[in-house]
Amino acid sequence: MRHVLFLAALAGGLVAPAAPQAPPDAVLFVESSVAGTLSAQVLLIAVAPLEADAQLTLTLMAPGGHEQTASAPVPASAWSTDGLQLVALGPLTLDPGMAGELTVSGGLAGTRPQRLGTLVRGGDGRVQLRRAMPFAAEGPGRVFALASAERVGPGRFTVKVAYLNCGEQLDRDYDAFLHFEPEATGGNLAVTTEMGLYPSGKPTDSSAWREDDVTVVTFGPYDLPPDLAKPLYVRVGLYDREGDGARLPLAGGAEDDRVLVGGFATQDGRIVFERTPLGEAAP
Amino acid sequence: VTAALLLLVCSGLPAQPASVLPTATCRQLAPREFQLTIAFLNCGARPAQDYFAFIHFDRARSGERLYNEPDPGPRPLVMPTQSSAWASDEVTVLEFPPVTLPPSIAREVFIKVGLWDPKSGARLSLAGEDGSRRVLVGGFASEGEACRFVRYPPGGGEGETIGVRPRALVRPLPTEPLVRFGEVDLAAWLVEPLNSGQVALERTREELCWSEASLEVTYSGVDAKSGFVLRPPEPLPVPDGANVAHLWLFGRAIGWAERRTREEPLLRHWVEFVDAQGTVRRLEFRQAVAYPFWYVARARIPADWPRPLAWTGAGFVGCTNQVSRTVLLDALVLAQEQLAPTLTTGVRLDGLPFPTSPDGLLPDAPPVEYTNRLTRDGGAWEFAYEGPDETIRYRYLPITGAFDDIDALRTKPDGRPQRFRPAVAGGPTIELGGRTYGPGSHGVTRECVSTEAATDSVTSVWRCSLGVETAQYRLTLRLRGKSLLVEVESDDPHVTGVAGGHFSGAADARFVPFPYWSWRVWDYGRDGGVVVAGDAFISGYPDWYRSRASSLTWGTELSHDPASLLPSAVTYVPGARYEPRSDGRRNPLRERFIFTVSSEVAQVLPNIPHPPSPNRDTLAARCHYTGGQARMLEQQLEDWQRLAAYGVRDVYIRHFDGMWSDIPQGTQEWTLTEHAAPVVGDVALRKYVDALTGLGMLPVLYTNYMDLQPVAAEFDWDAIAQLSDGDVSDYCWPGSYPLKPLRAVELEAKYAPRIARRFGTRGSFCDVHTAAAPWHKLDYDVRLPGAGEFGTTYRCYGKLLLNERTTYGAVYSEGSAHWLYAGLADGSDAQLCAAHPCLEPFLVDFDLRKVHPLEMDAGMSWIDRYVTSPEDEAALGGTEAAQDRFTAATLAFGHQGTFTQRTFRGYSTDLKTYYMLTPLQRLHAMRRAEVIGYHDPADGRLLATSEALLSGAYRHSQVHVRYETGLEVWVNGSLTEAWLVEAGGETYRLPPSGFVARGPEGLLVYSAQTDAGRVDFATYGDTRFIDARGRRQTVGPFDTDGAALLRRNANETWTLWPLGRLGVLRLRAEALGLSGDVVARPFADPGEPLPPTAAQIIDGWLLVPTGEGDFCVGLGRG
Repeated sequence: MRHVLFLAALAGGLVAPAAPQAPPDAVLFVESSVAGTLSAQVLLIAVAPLEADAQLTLTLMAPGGHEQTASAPVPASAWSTDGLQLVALGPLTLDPGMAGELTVSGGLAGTRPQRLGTLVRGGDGRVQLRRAMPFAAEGPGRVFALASAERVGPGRFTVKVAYLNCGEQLDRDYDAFLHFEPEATGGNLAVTTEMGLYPSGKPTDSSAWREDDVTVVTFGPYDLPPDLAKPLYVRVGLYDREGDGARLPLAGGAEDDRVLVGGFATQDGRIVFERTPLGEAAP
Repeated sequence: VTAALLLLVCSGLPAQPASVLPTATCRQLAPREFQLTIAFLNCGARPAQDYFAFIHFDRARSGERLYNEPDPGPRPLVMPTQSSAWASDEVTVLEFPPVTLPPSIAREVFIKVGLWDPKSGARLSLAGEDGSRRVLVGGFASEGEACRFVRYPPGGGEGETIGVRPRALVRPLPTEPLVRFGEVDLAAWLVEPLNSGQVALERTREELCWSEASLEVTYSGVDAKSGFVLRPPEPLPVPDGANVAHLWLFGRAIGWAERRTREEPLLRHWVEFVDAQGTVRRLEFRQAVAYPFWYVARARIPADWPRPLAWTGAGFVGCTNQVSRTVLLDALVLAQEQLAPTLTTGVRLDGLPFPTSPDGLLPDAPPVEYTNRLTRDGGAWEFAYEGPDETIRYRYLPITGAFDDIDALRTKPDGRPQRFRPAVAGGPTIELGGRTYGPGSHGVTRECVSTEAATDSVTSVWRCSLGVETAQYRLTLRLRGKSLLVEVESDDPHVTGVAGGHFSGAADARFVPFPYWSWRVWDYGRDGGVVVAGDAFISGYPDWYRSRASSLTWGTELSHDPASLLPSAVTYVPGARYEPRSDGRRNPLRERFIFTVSSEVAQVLPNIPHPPSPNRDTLAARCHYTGGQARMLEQQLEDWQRLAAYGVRDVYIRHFDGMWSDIPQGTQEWTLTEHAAPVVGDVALRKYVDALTGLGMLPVLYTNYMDLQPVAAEFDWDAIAQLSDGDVSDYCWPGSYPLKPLRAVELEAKYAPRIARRFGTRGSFCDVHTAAAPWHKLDYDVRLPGAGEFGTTYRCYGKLLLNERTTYGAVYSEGSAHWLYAGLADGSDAQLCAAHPCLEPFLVDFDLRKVHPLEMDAGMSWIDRYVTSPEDEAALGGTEAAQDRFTAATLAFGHQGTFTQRTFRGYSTDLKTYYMLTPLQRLHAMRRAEVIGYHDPADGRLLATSEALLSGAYRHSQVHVRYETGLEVWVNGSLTEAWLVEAGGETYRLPPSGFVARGPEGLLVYSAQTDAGRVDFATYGDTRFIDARGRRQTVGPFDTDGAALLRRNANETWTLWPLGRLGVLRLRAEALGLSGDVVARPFADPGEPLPPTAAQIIDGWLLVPTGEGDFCVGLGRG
């Protein structure tokens, strides 16, 4: 449903999202450098910045029902213009009762918590995250992608694409790629190529990705046409450039193993980027 | 007999465009003594002139590799002919002196014949010639102590085209190939098509490499997955110990093509093996097939593949072309790579004449009385600049160990404060537990071990830990003027670099890139500049003279930090990265970052502490041209002679790589050689250079000590740079391997004097060296000192450029990163780094204030590198508007005129460039710009640069510059707006790309709008020039709708050159000092006078009696 809204928004020139705002998606990152402690970060992903200050709560639950919580403020002023905020929690010292696999859930106070993953203790006492997929995805893909755009000049943007791993172990170094397309459903790359927006590729170290890794690839900068009459859509993926060219199936990806991560459109005379909500990236 | 034989053979030959066919007969006078007789059959028109016939005795069937034994040994023989009298079907027989083969020559001698013009050195094209315009007519074959003559069939052997073997491939291959593809049994080999790939195989001698023939593979396909695999009849055992694969191939695709098409794909390729366990192994070559000459692709065979291995095929993929293309295969070598265990160098990099200051890039000190002080405030330290202009405090509170701990507080004279953080998320990066942690990233514990203050500095020591692993580094801060110096030092191998961070704390902060300040790291190299926040300017950069890093980086390309997904504030400081050397160890970290805050932008620009070029007098007035091919030597000389007839003399002509090889970048090596392309030879090239020098021009040849082709005599795997993992680096340019920078210095010292001596050149175009930032050209090989440091590369290339100048006299380079080397070369092509260079604002301050005093840069590079696409040209308004933009930008940035070889309205615009820009160059080259101002169309004021940056007025690109010589220029770089300029009491309407320049002694040059249209005009000294662009204009002494050049001669006469299409041309007689009877002496061509005629003066206008196509007219009293 949100995807339909997104496409409608792009087609109509990116109107403001309808109130009330949906709670943001959340993606968990964990570092555990010392046995029995961990530092967490939660990437909050909203359609647009929230207008009010909020509180993020993280709950760790042991198999016996023992719980431990942590919380951190989510200031309204800290959202990026396209609705991202990274909230740090910790370092947390795990209670003695927090044994076994710990289920982690969290969300903004007053909203339904989201399951974020499972923490598994290693032999050295440090914990490793098995990140939960933040949306229901069909297919085998355990890597999902989301994007953010940064304006670096008039009409000039870089696109940052995060590839988030939810348990995949890859046997090769895939290249990240980015396509601009004239249609939400795909379309002819030649149209955007004529605008000078060529398909882009960047090598990654995906064979070394940990199961809870995030890899942010920066593409561009791109000079978008100042007279952008129709939206330009951005699709991304991973492919085996050195081998047979095959694409890695991504969570939430379309049949062609690409993910629609957002698009550029003109709003009030300015070009803006709107991110596609997670899990609704396939047409 | 010879003639009869020749006629007989000739009758069966295919038609040849060249009409003279030589053949040889031989009398054996003694066992090793021969007398050759050459018969030349003329099958066509008379040759244009009397050529000399020559015989060469070659060591190779192809290529030019002469025996030069003492007489009567086999050395070149020459005899005059009267070839201009050779009628069609006439046979001329020449008997040459006897030749003796000394016993030392045991291998075959190849006899080649040609005709040579002793004046120009050019060779006549012959029927059956090879690529060097010689015909292989026979050979001497050794038989024990005796030898015998062997005649080859006339016409190149049954009409077959035999290529010229690269001249250095006369040495043997160190290891016998596993396969010589030109010798395989084609019927037995298998071709496996991939995804509808179409393949055909044929043996050919069209291009020769190590073998006497190669395999030509003709291919086509449907998409990127189309390809083919060639397989031998049986798997071939790989020699024991082989750890590297070398595949010699000839690509016939150009990797440096401006625009790729699917019909010219760059194939990716590999070789396949089956290992001891029966597993198929594929060994990819990293570089695509992207070169139209012989190249050796190299790949390391992994040591962990179970041995023995057997080779099973060579594969290619990416055949998107539907029209057939070819690739040639010569040899596959599987061998044990034999790199020397140690290397030595005699190159000393200490005692260089740069930098000239230990302060490195530190900006100019504020030109006022000021104080710097350091005070403590609780746990924080405060560095304060206090001057009459402003107060700036940098506050350091050591909490995170990152640059985040630094705040800047600026207080303006009116007391208003401005606070920000110059480098959030900047600071040391740490590698612990197999991961890299950026400054401030969570997951590692940071602890301040100590903080100590000295008189003017504060040093804090930091320890980071992750489990039991730790890393330690030291930060030292001190203030110099308005600049905070932050030194980062660590000997700990876990410290992997320093991130530059980003600016934070001012909502209006924006990054303004300055043209020609390019780190070549990010955004097409449009990445050097300042942050403008409020009314302050902030800069930050590492001091490359102190750095021991391997590269500079923006650090945003690939990150595992989730925070890097968030759009950051202004990023403007490059970071430093320390990659492991080939032994796996990192260099100790030594960095100095310079952060400067000021209300004056000039005070935050980096200085370039280099000695200036000493060649201003030689080069200031020269225009520049880049191009040239050996194949077109005669045409080029004619073109330059033609320009010289217009008085064009001060030209720096940089000949490109096509002078060293028969086609540009092929098929010979085109770097590190002292021999001209075989198609012309050394003598012809020397004569050509001498001829240009005689015209007063400065012709130089191409040099490049960065890219080395495998076909070069100097090619040696030990001379090639290594990667961080210890493997040989395999890419710098398609078809080339990167030469170690230290070897580059050694080889430049070897070749430069040889080239200068052989060709008499007084300058060089040392390509690439100022185009690549040193952090992109690394050698990690620990067998040589300075491994893994870009500083080694930087010092090597700087030393090399200085030696080019010492050897030749003047040196130019390619440019784009040339500010790094400013003054070490005499100049560079002023290549501007940007996605759309021609649309960038004319923000001239960094170039004019920092680079311009040190050297003389050319044009905006070539016009195709300034106006880089048809779309940009259209945005400017078309071809001539693009030329105007190029000229205007050249003048605004204080560069040298550069020829574009474009023609408008029937004449070469290079004449306009020459006569409009050279008088200005004499006054601005390397001269100080006293005043730089930017016109603000809003109120008509000329703003100083700081004000223009704050208001954004600089984006209108309407620039005024006054030089210390008195020259003033006004250039309108606006794409759409006109600019009314008052200069010398006159008002000039400058259209987009218009300009006006005034100087001493009445110098006036402009390109401005009148009611009639746009007109280009110049008057200075004895020269007057006009281009009325097809609209009748009355300007200076001219009344015309066309273009003309008028110059006063020493005897008070004038010479007028009408240029291109003219309707009207009258001259104001009084302005020329002519009255009464005036005689016109026209010339149809230079040196071809026509009968003089009387010229009429009516109403003060001299009517010039020019005829259609007249070259020039002399005008004087009767």
